[in-house]
Amino acid sequence: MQLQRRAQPWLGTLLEISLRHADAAAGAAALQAGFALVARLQGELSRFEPDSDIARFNALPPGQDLTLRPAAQHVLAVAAWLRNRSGGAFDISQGSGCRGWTLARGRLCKTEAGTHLDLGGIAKGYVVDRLIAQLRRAGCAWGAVNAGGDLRVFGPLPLPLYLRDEHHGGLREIGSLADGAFASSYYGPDSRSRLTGAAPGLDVQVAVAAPSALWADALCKLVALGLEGQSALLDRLRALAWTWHVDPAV
Amino acid sequence: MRLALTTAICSVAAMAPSGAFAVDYMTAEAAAKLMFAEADRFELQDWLLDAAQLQAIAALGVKPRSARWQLRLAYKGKELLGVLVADEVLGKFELISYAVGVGADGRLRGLEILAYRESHGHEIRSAAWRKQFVGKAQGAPIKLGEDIANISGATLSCSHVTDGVKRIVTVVEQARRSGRLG
Repeated sequence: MQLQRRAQPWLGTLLEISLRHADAAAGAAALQAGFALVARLQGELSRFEPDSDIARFNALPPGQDLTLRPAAQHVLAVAAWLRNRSGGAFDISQGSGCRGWTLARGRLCKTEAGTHLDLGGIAKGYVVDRLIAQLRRAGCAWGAVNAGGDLRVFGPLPLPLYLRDEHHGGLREIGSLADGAFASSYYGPDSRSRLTGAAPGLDVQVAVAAPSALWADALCKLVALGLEGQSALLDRLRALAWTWHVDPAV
Repeated sequence: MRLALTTAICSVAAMAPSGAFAVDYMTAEAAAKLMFAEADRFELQDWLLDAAQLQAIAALGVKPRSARWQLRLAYKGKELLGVLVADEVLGKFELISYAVGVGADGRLRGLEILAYRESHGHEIRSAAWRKQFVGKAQGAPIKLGEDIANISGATLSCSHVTDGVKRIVTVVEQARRSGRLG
């Protein structure tokens, strides 16, 4: 079975879908359907998409609420759970109002003026999981999705994992993964990713392995903020985490 | 979940980076066939923009970067369906080659990554390293195994791709106004 793969820019990063299917035409169709799913989910979840549930919430006056579509419902339920479990450290409001939103019965309510949401720290993992589920349903024997550092793989073949040296370039092979998810993030003075609530001067690379990409992605943020008190959470979610404090001088 | 780690994961800093890493997804020709599935022929056209055309593009707020462009025109019989343009952008430590398809109506038809190459920082500044990659998407792909990397930090280059798409759409629009598109 040949490896079929394509990559397109989505979710503010490069999104790569790889698969093996006994029928190459079905494999090609699964790749096409994968990017169509990403387009739809980005349209529902990205704050940069005017018709997304998130953009519509951001435009709401305080005290108002809106009905969420299933994708946003799922992601926000996880975000609410993580927010409560982490004492507010997991904050999808970018510091604008960690407690300024509530989710109940599929409705998202703005409880504080000025609260705006951004799913940049969790939605990529969710989309990767959805893609993996779709590849399985399409009859792929093996599949992997990588959204710029949020990765999940299923099937018999392990996937080599690489981490980038964020200061000098080049990749380091750190192991291999089968039937699971792996996420890595880099937070430093010259990285585009920003972490609300992080200490100034933070220069850290983190990686999390977990059964699903949604949790790996979200837990990366908590791990980067410091692991104190999070180990029970990691155990509960069957996740493993690594942190490397970067010394640019080396 | 089955995770096998190299013993040195605890001290990544002590590990030597692996060699050049590249993935070839598809050729520009394959991308054209994907985006213009109904086309029965493609025609390559080299286009050298003159000073007035470059100025017209700059006036639209886009840096034309190059005066030399190759247009891949897609036809169905005598009808022009659109055009595909391949380009590449440099990110923090990576070179990304991509193709943009624009329909005859001027609308974006598709965007596909042709190749990705991760480098060491010192290579990316070397013209020789960049040169060996130029045109590779059109030629025979270099086979470098079937690894898939979990590379974090690709977001930066992605904004470069977005800028590149704007540039190409503008260049194609200019080509239309110059009467190059049939």
